[in-house]
Amino acid sequence: MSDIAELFARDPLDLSEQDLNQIIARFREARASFGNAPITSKTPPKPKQADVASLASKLEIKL
Amino acid sequence: MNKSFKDGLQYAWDSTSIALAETCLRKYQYRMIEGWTPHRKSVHLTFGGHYATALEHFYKHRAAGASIEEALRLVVREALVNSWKDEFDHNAKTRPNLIRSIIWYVNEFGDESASGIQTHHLSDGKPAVELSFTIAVEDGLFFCGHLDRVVRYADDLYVMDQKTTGSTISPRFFDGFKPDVQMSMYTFAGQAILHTPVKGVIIDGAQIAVGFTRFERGFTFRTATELQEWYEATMHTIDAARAATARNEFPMNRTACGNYGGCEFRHVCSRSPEVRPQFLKADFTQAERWDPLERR
Repeated sequence: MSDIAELFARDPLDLSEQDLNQIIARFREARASFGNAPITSKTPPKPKQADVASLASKLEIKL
Repeated sequence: MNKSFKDGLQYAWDSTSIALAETCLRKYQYRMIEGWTPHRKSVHLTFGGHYATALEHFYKHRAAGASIEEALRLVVREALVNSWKDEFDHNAKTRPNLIRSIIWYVNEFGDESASGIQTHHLSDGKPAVELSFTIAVEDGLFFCGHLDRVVRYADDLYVMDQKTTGSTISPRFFDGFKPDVQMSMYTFAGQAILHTPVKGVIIDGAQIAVGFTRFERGFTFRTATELQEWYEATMHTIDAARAATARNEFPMNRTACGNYGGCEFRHVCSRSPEVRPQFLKADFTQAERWDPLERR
């Protein structure tokens, strides 16, 4: 079985039906793995306005 | 020779050229009249173009009777061939991620039996896919463009469109399509071609990340009065652009320079007028002008 990177490096006109099926199968497997991964936020949540104002007040920072 | 111009004035308008004229007449001059384009095509346009074409052709193959698997293999091969020589200078919008996104899209939305969405068929029985249009409006002017697909959903007709983004897709993403030149043009054109009301556009959004593609589907609606308002405003924009062209005077809209990460001509317009031609020649190519009548 060819490595996926090797398939992408090949001239696409040289790819067989089997190669295409392999590419499709590999990406479908990846999707199944992604679907089972826990959903986490990409970026940390932004603090709420009130929390920021409260913290600024405690630290005697003028925003 | 740009077919959309006659006697030096643009008479055939698509959503790209209307949006340029609405944004800034100087930008319209640089892009549409003088044909200045960046040396390298934007990776976002390259990626988005291949992706949208693949999905449009997927539904075309399906409408012609191909199975989901057959249609998918055809468009994956086509996308691999079409993208072979392109540069993808981006960490997420890469060639493998293009193919991944196409395959994952078909997994998500390819089987429409449960979604209630069906490709609409024209009065001659042909599926409403790959619909290029040139519509005469008034004063010798035409609207032109291309609809990927028209579908029926819950007894209403919608145009379908594909959009890619690097950001997480929230409801705000879909809010950004109203008001919007392209979505209003799609709805207007759909009604004009089909001679029946079109409720709006179904947008399939795809977030393209390094390790995944995530999809969300949303709607943007247009009422009859909204379309009438859009039409009148668009005719006003076109009149202003044609008048500017006739006078060879294209004022800048200085409030638009920072839109969408900054206009590509900002560094030209920020120079003194006598040196701007040098910066245009250095940083842009004077290629064939964008022609709304050119079928893509």
